[in-house]
Amino acid sequence: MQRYLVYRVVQSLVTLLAISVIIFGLSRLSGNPVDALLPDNATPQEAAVVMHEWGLDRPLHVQYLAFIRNALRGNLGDSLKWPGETALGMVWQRLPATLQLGGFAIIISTLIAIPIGVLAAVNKGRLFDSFGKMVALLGQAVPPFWLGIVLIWTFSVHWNVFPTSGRGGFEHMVLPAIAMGWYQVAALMRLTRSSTLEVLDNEYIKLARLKGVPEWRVIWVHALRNAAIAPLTYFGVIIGYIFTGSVVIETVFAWPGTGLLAIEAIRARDYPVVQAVVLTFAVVFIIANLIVDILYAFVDPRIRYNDNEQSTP
Amino acid sequence: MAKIIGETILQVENLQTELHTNIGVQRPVDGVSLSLRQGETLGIVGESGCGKSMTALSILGVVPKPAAQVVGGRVMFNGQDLRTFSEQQMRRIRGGSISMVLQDPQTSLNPVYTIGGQVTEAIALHRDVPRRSLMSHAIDALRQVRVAAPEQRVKDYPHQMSGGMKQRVSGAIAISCDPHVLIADEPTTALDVTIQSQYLRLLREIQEKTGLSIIFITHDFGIIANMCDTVAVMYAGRVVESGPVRAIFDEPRHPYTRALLNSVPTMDRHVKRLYSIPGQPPALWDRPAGCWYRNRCPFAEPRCETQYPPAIAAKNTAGSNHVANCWKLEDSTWITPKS
Ligand SMILES: Nc1ncnc2c1ncn2[C@@H]1O[C@H](COP(=O)(O)OP(=O)(O)OP(=O)(O)O)[C@@H](O)[C@H]1O
Ligand SMILES: [Mg+2]
Repeated sequence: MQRYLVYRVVQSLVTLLAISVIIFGLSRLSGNPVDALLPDNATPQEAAVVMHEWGLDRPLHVQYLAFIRNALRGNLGDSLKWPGETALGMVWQRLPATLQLGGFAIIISTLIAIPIGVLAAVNKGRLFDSFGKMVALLGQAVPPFWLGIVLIWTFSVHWNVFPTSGRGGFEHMVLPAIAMGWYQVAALMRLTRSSTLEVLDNEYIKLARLKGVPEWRVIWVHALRNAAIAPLTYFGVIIGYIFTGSVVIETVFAWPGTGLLAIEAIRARDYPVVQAVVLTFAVVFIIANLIVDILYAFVDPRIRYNDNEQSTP
Repeated sequence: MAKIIGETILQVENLQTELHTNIGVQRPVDGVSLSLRQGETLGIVGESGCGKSMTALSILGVVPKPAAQVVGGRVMFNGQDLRTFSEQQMRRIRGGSISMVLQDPQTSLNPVYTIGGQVTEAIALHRDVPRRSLMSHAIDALRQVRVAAPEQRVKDYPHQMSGGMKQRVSGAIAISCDPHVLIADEPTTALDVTIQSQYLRLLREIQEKTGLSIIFITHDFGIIANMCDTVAVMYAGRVVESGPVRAIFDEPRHPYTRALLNSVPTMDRHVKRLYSIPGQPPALWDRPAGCWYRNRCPFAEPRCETQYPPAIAAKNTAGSNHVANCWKLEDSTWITPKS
């Protein structure tokens, strides 16, 4: 277990390093920030002065090392668009809103998807299974931004039951969470269904029934714990989707989170902020995956004891 | 070490199980009758796919849902018909009065729960013991099946054990609630030979100690000779011959039994090649008229093509209870010729 943990932490750090290179590279490929900073009629001389001032005329690897050194100190530069704000400060202001909405969407999706997936497997080929298939099909066929617009139009404009946009209480989260989570519900449900079907075919399920274990316990205790392993590993991916998806959903619902911040910063070519957003997404994603892998080891003893000596009889 | 054999404890009569598939309704168990007395070991033999496992599952009412369903017959256990029991009553029978060990030790334990957890679960379901002492009962059960250092082993997970050890744990689960009947469905097929004989010896010891009745499913006649008092030979979802083990070995009457015995290699008969029965058993969806074995039977006669033979008593030296479903037995002097 300890070796597994250390291995996963080191792996996460390496991933993070790779991501920092990509982020740094991409932001330089997206165009010269000086073009956005200066008025159109600025002379090349003026541009060169600004470039020098910002250190943009130094070789790339020097710029990268400076970037890393500063990043480790929590300094990702100052925002170009919002004067007086640091890039990281902007992200920290907006992050709670995104975590709130994303967390809500993930919890709701899970609470809906897992039971539907298990019940669809148990009732394979029957009415409930078809219902589950329909939920999945809709979720995976409908693009979230479109779903968001339809939801706003239906529930906010037409029936006026939920607010159209902005951050606020529970009622503000319902529509964006549905728009964000439906696809996840579909994916998770299908994954749960197929892994439950596979598990139910196992001899140990038969043996549980032969032991006299009540059927509900066979399904929700004996089968689910095994069937949960596949969907659990998928959580890492879901968290990624939720964050990248937040860019679209927060824009549609004017939800003041990091996703919306990313769009605003990109429009302004505020590359320190864009970098900070992307780096934050990456860090959250990596930490989430690390947590998922640790949970995974708790659910599946075969992982947990992998590095133990096999105690032979 | 003579075993004491008592009254009939389990009597299966004309058990029928249907299987709904996309090519139609089939009957993997089609009128099976068996009889088991207290302290006795009944062997069920037959080719792969003849319905041995399905028969065992049908007795306990745990056939694969929703495709399969027990549709007819009686399962008399201690004078009561289990087929009339409610699901709740059956749960008390399963693992309590009648327990089962499955074929593949690698997959018959749940990988995410500890050995101790899986043994105590059975005990908690069927025995009236306080929660605190559940684990010590589980340790006792493991000790009974000779698991070394059971106090430590209860904390282990299945993947930390060898196949033979896992099969012992399955055995511990099966005997932990003092059942009257144990159904062992090829429990040793997946084990290597030495582990296999240890396991069989263990079963016999437990039987001597507790007076357990065993139904032993196998396709190994060596194990039958070693373990069983009586034998039922199954073919295509039916029992075609049954009787005391000596009678079946020495004076098999059904041509199928004879053919099965011939396909067993032995040390003293210098078999050059393994005899195998020519032809295939009839498909589940295509039962012929008359005797189902006639297409493969060297002794088939015209009457075998029209009517399925009834169970006819074999009048032989080994005494009563030896019956076979073959028209040839109407001729009381007929003995299956050795080939
Ligand atoms: N879950 C299932 N779905 C469909 N058909 C099945 C199922 N289980 C068993 N069968 C069919 O029922 C018949 C009897 O199978 P069963 O498992 O009882 O045979 P068996 O005598 O135990 O064979 P083996 O020696 O291989 O274990 C076979 O033809 C098999 O194909
Ligand atoms: Mg079988």
